[in-house]
Amino acid sequence: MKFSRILTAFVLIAIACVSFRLPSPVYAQQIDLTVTPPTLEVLIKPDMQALLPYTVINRGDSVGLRPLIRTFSISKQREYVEYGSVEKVPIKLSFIDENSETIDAFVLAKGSSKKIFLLLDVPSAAAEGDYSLSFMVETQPELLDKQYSARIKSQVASPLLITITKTGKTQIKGAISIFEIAGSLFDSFDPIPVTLRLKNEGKNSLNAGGAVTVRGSFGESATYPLQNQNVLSNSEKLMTTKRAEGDRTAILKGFFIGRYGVSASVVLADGTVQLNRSTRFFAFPFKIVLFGVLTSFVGIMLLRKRR
Amino acid sequence: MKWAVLPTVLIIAGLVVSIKGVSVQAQKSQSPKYTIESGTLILQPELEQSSENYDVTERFGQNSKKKFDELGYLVIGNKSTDASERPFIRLKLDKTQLVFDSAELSGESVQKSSVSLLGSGSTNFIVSLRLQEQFKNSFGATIQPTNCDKESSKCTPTLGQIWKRAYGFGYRATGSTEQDLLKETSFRPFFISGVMGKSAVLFDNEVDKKGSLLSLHFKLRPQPQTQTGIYKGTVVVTVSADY
Repeated sequence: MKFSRILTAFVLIAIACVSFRLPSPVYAQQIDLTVTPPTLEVLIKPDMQALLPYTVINRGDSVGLRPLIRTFSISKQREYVEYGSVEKVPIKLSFIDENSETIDAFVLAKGSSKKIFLLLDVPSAAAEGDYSLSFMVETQPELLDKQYSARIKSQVASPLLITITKTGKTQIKGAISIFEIAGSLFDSFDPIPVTLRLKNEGKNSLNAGGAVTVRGSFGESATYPLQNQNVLSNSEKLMTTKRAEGDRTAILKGFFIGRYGVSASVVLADGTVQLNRSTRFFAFPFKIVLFGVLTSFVGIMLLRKRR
Repeated sequence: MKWAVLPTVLIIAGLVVSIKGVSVQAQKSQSPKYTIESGTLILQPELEQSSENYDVTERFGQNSKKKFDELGYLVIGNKSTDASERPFIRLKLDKTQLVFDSAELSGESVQKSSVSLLGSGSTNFIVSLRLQEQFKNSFGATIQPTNCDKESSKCTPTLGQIWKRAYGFGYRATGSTEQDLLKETSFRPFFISGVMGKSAVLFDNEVDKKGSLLSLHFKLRPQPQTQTGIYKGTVVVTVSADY
């Protein structure tokens, strides 16, 4: 009797141990989606229609998808994006396939692709201006009946900028909102952080490029080209160089000594508009000098003690 | 000895000023004449400061105006790439279900999912995350996103803080461009925004052909007195090219 109880207890403990040690079941639908094109820009007259072709390729498991169109904006500090309803956009938007049939949701098998056309129908009374939207496809994973479970919906989005214009002419108006160096006095070996932010004050999106140039008092100079950026109307963007880090346009590294002039030249509208700002900083090898002085001081003290 | 004290004091004062980082107001250059010495970009003198009539031809080439007038619209793909390759953005996600089945026994559960990003050429990607539906059972009881440990410095959907003891649901991410998400004990709660709304950026950077990898770590710590039932939630990961 005792033996069977011990055996039962042993078996129960073993089962419990094994079940606790078992890895969590894997719910492994793998998503691998490609959307092309990654961005689109459309200039369109009022009272016109256009068809925009998107292709979705599925290299993962078979997946249920839904095409969506949302308004798109990004916060000033680029901390969050906001996708909203297109109800207030004065353009009729709908999805159709190659057979001109409306698409709502569909299943895309592994290794297959689907063409989705976004139909834009701009009414004659539509107000001129930019509308920043985003085309996206969204997966529809199921909700599991587990005690605590969450599904991950994936969205692959392609920004779409629609400019309604009667004539093809747009307004380009930008301003350098920030051009600064974090400090004015640096040690010669310190990295120099440069920030350049561009504000689009015009009614339409703009494309900006240019360069940041650093000139030393001994005639030496270095130029850091700015990477071309699109800036939506009434928004601000950090301009970046290849030396950009985090929220800095460039981190200048090297040995600096003396006074340095730093100038930013931002070109808009393919060079027809130019914005300039400049600032300066000073660098001196404080740490080396301090080390030298302190070493001499200690040396003198030791010599005096010996005497 | 006095001779050594004076320069030391001066240097220390200089260092203090340097550390404090005296801010310098940028100055506007009055002269529009400027030449960039990059060798590739030579600007014209006497340029305007803005343009009210920036024509479509100036940006999209000589034929664009003709096309725009003929068709009534013009469609432009912004991302230039090799002629042999169509530009694209690609997302790979290794797991679409998170099951926090050890949360009840051990008090917490961390589940991971990895996100791979691939683009053609150098494409700037924005990856963002939000909660479409928070953890809820069939009676409507919820598990809230975490506020993290310190009452005085609560974490927010855009700023992670240390989270070890408090209850709730949150995430961190390796491979993120957001510094607060990289620390092992630092987590963020989510924006809860329904079908549409705010989504916190956790990656905002260029992705080349080699791609970038993010690992999302979702942590659930339900309160011990949480109402029983099956709790389900929906997380939304959005991967977008930057305009």
